[in-house]
Amino acid sequence: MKGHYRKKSKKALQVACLSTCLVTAWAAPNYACGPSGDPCAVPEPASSTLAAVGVAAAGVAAIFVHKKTLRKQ
Amino acid sequence: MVRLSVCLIARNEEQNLPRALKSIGGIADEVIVTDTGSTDATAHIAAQFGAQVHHFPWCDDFSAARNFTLDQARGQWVLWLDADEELLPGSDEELTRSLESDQVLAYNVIRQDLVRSDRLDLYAQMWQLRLFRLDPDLRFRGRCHPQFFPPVHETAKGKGLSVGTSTITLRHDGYVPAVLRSKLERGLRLLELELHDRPGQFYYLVEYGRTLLALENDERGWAVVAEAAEQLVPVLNHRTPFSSMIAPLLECLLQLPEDRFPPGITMNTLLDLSERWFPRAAPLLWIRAKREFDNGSFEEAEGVLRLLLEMGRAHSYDRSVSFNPAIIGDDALLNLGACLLRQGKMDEAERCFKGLLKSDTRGSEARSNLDAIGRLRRDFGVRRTRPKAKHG
Repeated sequence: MKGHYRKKSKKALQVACLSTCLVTAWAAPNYACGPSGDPCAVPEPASSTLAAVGVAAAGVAAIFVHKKTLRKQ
Repeated sequence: MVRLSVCLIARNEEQNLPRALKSIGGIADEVIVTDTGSTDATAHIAAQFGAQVHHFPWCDDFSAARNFTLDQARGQWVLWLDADEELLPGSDEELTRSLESDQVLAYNVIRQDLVRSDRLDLYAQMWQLRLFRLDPDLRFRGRCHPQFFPPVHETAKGKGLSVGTSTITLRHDGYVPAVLRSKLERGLRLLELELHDRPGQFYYLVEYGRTLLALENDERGWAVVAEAAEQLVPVLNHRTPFSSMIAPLLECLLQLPEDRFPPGITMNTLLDLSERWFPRAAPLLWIRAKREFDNGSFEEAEGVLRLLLEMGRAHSYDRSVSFNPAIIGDDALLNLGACLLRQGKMDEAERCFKGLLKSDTRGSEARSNLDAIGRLRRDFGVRRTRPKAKHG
């Protein structure tokens, strides 16, 4: 009975976490009155772009791997 | 020998000009200021700082004024500065090093775009092509947002030289809200003239559409954005984008109702292009995070927000287009906290919100969310997890 209660309470907490009123900030990503890109600016050199993309991708991958590990635990 | 000419054009810039000219004191062999019709003390101030002052009648064309200024310069190199910018201390050594290269035609330098004059720590960085050899083949075109024509890469290639990057850093406060609207209104008129002179230019179409939208002329803005998007249709399968301005176009399109898309473009196309062509464009990642959040995919939204925050710490985002730094800072952290709480990760969410309590932009929102967590803890008897004691 106690286990059943705890399970129910956990479910209720999950629902509460999903529905509780939170303040978020999803304003448009650019300035309210958007500044331009620089027409003279050029993309970074391919090598550094690839390296940076690699780092970024590794970052995302690491997050997901970390989460999986946590889930397994 | 005149090695470095610092050039700028100005009109009614008596407030900003002293800061700009002071910042380049001691590094320029000559300073050239072209006054395009000031009615204040701009020309007088420039002369006081030892600049050569020239006058050029304004003709609705920034490139014409810039090219006139270049014609007055005698240096081997030019550092182009705007009156609302300043060269940051610490750039001198890098500047000296850059001028010594005999392999480079022009350099991109870093510009910090402030959103508030009182917050020097709140900015996004952009590449700006500002240091270049004084060469008759490097001349500007475009009534606003001047660009080199022919493109600088083609000119460099033809001369057996390259276009480099440098850590020389400028600070710019021309996008703070107080001055932005009037700048946009002036820009709109010049964009219309430019597109009248040379119709169909992709860069200017995108800029025109965005400016209309920023000035809340939505109907016309969406129509122009859709017109620019038509130029994407033939290149959708290309491996690389033909212009960095595609990123802000995608940003606009992703916020457009799908029934307004031009034929051949769907929401999936736009999401695919964003990931394939601009994996580090912070505004596009932000829109993706929002979509995931709105769809209830909180784990995915969390991953993207963490990536944005990491990019913000390292300034490792795509620096070809400017954006609101809040999306790699406080706003991202607030939303990350929300994602974590939606997944039931109270402790982690709480840490995010506590980290914002001193924020002057999101402090009150963070406080409100912490109160919400406090209520949940009370209602469900959930205690904080104590940090594990460290052994050894």
